[in-house]
Amino acid sequence: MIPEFQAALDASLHTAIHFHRRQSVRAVSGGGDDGLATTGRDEGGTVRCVAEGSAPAIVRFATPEGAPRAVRRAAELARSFRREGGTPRIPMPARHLDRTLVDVAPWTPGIDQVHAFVEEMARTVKSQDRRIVRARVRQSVHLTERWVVTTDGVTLHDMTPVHDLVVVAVAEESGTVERAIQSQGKGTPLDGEQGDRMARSTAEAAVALLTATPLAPGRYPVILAPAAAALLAHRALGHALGGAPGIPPLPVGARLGPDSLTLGDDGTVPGLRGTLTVDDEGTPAHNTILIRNGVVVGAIHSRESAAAARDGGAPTGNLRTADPGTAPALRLTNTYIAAGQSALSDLIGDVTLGVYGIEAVGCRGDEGLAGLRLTAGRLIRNGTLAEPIKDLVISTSLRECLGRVEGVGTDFQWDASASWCHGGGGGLVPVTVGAPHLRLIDLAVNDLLGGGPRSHGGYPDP
Amino acid sequence: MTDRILDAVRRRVAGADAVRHTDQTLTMQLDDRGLVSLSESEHVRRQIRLLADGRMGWAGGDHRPDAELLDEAWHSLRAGEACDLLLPAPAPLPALLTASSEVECSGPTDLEARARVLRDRLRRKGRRVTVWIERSFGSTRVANTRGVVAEFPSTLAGIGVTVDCPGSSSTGQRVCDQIQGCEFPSLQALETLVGDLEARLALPELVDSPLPNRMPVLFAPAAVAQLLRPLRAAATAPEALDSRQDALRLEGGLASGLTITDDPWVPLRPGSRPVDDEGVVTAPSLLVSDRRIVGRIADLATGARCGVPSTGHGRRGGADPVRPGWSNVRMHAGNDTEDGLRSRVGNGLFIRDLDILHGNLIGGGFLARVRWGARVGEGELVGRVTGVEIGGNVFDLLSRIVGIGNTPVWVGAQQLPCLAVEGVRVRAWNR
Repeated sequence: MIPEFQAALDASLHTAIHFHRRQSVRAVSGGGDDGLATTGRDEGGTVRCVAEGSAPAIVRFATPEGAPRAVRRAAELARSFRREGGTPRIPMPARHLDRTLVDVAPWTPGIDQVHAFVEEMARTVKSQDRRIVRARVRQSVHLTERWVVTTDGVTLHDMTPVHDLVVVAVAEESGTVERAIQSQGKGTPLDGEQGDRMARSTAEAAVALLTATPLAPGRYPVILAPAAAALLAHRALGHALGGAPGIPPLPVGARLGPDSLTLGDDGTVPGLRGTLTVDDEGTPAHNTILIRNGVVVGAIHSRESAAAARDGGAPTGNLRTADPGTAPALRLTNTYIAAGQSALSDLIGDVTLGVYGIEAVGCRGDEGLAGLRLTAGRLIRNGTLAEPIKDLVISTSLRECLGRVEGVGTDFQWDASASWCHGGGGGLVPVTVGAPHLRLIDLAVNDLLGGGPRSHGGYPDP
Repeated sequence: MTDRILDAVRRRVAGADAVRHTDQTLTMQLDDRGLVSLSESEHVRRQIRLLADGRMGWAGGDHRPDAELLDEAWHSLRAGEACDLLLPAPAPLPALLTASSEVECSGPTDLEARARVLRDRLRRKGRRVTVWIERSFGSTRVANTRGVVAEFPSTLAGIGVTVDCPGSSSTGQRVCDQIQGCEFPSLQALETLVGDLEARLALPELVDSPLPNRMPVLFAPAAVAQLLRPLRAAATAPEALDSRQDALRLEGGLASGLTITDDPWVPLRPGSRPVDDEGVVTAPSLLVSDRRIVGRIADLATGARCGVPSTGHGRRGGADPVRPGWSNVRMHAGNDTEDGLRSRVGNGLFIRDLDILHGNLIGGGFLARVRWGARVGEGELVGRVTGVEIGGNVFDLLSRIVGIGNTPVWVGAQQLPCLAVEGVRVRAWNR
């Protein structure tokens, strides 16, 4: 399709054609006669034209054949509406990439194969314990192919596979109902043995929650496990540094945390969900440091946002398309808190009474807020992990939360969950998050004005 | 196209239905320097559902060829859910206005002119004004193998504005508002919006104003819409069919005087439709009355799973499975004027916009940040407050309503009055 798209370009103004095609196989099973399975193909593209002294005009098209017409329409619109100062962008060299070497066959399993896999997993979850009353296993396999052609000389074509597995187990005993969710997302299929392990551990987690106790509201030292700390890094910090449309980035130079806190977004790590060779305007993926030693040092940028910021910032390779047919926008890739210098034993050792947060299910972070919801944790008593606790909510301001970071662990790890970022409503893009253990002091936990969470349900994140 | 695809499967299945949604959307954003961006899109989303041997399969997508969709639907049927679904038979449709020709005929130049009017009315030195405007038009066509063939047009129009005043107070101020419907808002509606925004911008910020732990609160319609989310979930199958949850939620009952209906027959509102996406004819239904939830909504598939009939609320499109979806939610007017409600609140809080931070759709527990609020003193707005949270249980709040406004306004597809509620838990936090 590259030659056809190149032929469609309007060289008299800046034109970019993006086209994405996503093939999917999805199956859900509860281990009985209640499965759903479907395959699908979703495709679409956008043409973005910017004339001298104009604002960008974006026209969507549904099939590759629609590109020339969309270019004509976008050019017409771009020439009709003026913008004072136009739309400047950072220049870049021509770039060509064709990565069609992915062997497509393994990434497109049949619907029967996927359905049989989730059905077997759901049965395994249910068979683990008599208290497991419901199971739900969902697998989605997506293969996304993209084409980008611009008048700057950029031509791109590549493919990205994503395999997601989500396991839900619901346990019930004496009127108490608890739910555990685990997920895994990567570029290769899960084998039967891995699936079996995941089914067992999800069931065990749900049953363990039956005997866990809710935590009394109060201020505690909090140690976040890597997965929970990583979610905080992405949702509260990453979005506040340009990773979500509509959220103004935090100013460079602002101090947010201690010297031990460094945060970045790295689209170059091989094998992760957010990894890119180049982004949707041809900028190579970067490891962008956003917070260094507790101070904001940068933000993620496209060519246009970097030019508009006028602070010497450069494009960072973060312009990504969510769903086929939507315009690319600035999005995070693999967000991380860098490893610090404290061993886990040092982080926990001197805590007389505190909270160890294990599993995070939700995090809000915009306009100065940081809210983290944890389904499972352990109490820390005299430096050791004690009884299991559940339903933990931390709601505070971003600055307060980060100002209370006291220690960063050495044990950095990338989280293997099937993470998707919906960046303030900008559509879903696959991401990975990573962090070490994080110690925060004197944080309000479950101080919810009587509106505390229950063991299941919850408003979906907006 | 929906009919052709059904003809292809008619003799091979126990039943089948198809829905097609089309829309053409134009979106524009303007700021002080002119146009920020302009985008145009067109969608033709179809979905086909097949029923055979007690199973259900489906496939859908945007601009997909018939053969490809059918192939996927057959595959889905083979591994599909066991579901005993009876498709509806043809029935007369209510006469209903769902589209505006003015919206359908409008192009980029019309949109820009409307957006400029709003931007220029709010432009001042020291302000950044950003206006977005959008219009879309399209149609919904639904058909099934029992003979249902129904189609209706639809339009949507919306305009919104954000005004930033960086130096107006200690924390700066941002106010936003929007109007959405099937028609462009009238000039009078835009004037009301401008007047409201100016009044909010003019209100001084109260710094270090202590708040008691509980206080009476006057919720504006946009804030009421947020509070209703658990209530709407409680009336949506399948969760609504668990009577244990009801007992838990509504131990004390809701406030008397609270009446809520779902009304798909209001002319020219975003949720209005004569027939749902499964071919079931719609009808208004009573949801809340006599201090309790008295009605539920369900689609065919969810209803079949739970053993209840469809209420004409099936929504589906593209690759998403069918689910129950609301039409227009209307909370009936009370007897109180806005001044009367403020007097009733006396010394309390006025909350215009609310953002739920943590919440539970089943139990109703929530913690929310006040996006825009003001202190009420002696029945008057005395100053803007920032950094305020409220919390508690939505069902508990809805049982402590002390006043309902007499002029409900439309917030998208919801028509809601102001509500005065006593004893709301309040907290101030520091950024």
